[in-house]
Amino acid sequence: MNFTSLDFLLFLPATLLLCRLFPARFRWPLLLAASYFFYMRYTPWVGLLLFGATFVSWFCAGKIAVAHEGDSITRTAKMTAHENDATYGSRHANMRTMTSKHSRPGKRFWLTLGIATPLACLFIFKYMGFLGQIIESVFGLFFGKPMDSLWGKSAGFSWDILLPAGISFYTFQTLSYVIDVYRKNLKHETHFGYYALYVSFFPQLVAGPIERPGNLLPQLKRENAFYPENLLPGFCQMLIGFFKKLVVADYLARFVDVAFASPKLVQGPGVALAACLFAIQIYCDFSGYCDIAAGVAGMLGIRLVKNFDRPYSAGSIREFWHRWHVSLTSWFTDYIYIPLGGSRKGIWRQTCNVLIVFFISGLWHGAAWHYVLWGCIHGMYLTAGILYHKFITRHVTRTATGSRRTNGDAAGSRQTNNRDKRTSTPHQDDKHDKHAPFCYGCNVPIQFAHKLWTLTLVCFAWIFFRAQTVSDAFAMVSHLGNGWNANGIAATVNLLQITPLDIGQTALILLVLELLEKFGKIMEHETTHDEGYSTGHGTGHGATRDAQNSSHQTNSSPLQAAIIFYLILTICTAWLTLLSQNAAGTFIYFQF
Amino acid sequence: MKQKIIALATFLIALLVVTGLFVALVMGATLQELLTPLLVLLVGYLIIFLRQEKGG
Repeated sequence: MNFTSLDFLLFLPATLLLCRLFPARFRWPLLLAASYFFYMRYTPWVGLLLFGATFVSWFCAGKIAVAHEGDSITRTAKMTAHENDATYGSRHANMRTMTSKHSRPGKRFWLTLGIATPLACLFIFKYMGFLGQIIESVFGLFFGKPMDSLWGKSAGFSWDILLPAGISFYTFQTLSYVIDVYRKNLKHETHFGYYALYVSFFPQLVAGPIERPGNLLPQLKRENAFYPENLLPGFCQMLIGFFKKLVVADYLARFVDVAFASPKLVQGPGVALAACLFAIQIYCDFSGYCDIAAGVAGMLGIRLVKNFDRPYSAGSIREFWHRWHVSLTSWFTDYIYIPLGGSRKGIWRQTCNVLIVFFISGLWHGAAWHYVLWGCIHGMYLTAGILYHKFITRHVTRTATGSRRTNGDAAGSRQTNNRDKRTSTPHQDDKHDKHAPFCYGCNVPIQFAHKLWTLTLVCFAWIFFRAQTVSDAFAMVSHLGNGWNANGIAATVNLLQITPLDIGQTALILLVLELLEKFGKIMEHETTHDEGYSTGHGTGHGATRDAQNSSHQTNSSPLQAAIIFYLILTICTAWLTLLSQNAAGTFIYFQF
Repeated sequence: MKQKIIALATFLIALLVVTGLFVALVMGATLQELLTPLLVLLVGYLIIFLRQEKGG
């Protein structure tokens, strides 16, 4: 089911109503059933896949937990037996060693199975066709003809299988659960129902955010009732999400689609405009989805992680990845970058790790070379940033300290460096300048220049993300320098069919978007006082909070009501118009 | 009193806007034409709201 479909208009109130009517102890089966219904609405068989991935990961994690318990029992026995060793000789010690040797591979086996099974599903459904194409190309390279002719087939390698929506997202959730249990970061959830709900929780099932079990599971297990006070902030957040998707993203899509559909015709201004508009479109599309997901979850009293934090205001590419798709970035950091060695094994190893992470990130986004290239471009941006940072740091340190450096200073610096090395992560190399090393602390024009430069780099990379193929992307990039004159601009206006009303309306939409972001923050802050959605705990404090809220809401309620009313009206108008034109697209991240 | 005036004004403008939208839809208006007045109103209300929050 899609958030922008008519079904969802009925599904959401029905789910909320059932949650309100039934006692709190029935919440998890109700939400689980709703989640599976949501997922299986159009293609029922995908539910089996989801259930299979859920069950295998839960089973493997359970086995790992049992092995952990076995280990701890062995360790306790070892401590007790240590005292007896002197009495009974070395035979007992040998037996203990054998036990521990047997338990270790057991854990690793279940870990491998728990990781390999969801990854195999992901590979089969998402990457099999891509692998087939690669093999076909390699055969064509060596034998001078395509593989289909070698095999006597009429068509090339085809893998026409439906990609189940959200498979990349819930696969990562199951992986993080199994790995966390293996690392003993998390206690195994013995109740399968709660775990199944964690994997399939419908607001975030199809396009994230990629929730960690440590955040979502305890919230799902809490048998809290339905709190009407959660409805308003959740509803507002949902409306902002719908505005981003239906009014901004789908509106801009028509210009972007035209430009990227004709990569050989579009000129320099057109390429630049299309890249900028796509940057806004994809942000509004994906963060709109996340806002709707967070709003729906908020209505149910569950707080999802924040996935976006004004990414285009970043002062560096590193900061951009702190603000864009945060849940995926932190997933890659914790489960790929740090196990690879992070920044602990020297600068060259660090750059290599960054490139590996971004190669995988590109591949995760889609089984096509242009996605891989997009990931590699970002990897190269970050690598260049790391090398530049190192160079500048060394240069500046040498120039600044020079011969004045005392032994004490040097020791202090060494200590700081060591501390930074120990605590660094791919996007958190230095605690003091974790976001933009050379940007903050500078004056406003320099900061602005950093932000503009970062935005330019990001927009350039989006060309590779949005293009249909790598050759299309290169064709557009090669046109980037052409047509920067009156004729080129006129050709762009003609190609994209831009009217003066479009320009005015785009400006108006962006202004509303900016104001709405602030409005959403205020609504969330006022109603929750930074403590998340109400869960019924701490009634004393909650009562004070409610009193504060009600007094505040009384002050600004007509204005809030007016904003919500016009927001609904705008969304409905855009939605109905798009529906009538068959132009309401699905969310971009659904395909990942 | 101020709140009552805002509420009444909102109601009247809303009535006008909804009627206007209905008429425009019947006459075959485009998406841009339909959205523009709504967006202008949204900007106005959001600015008033944010200014009030900042002041209060």
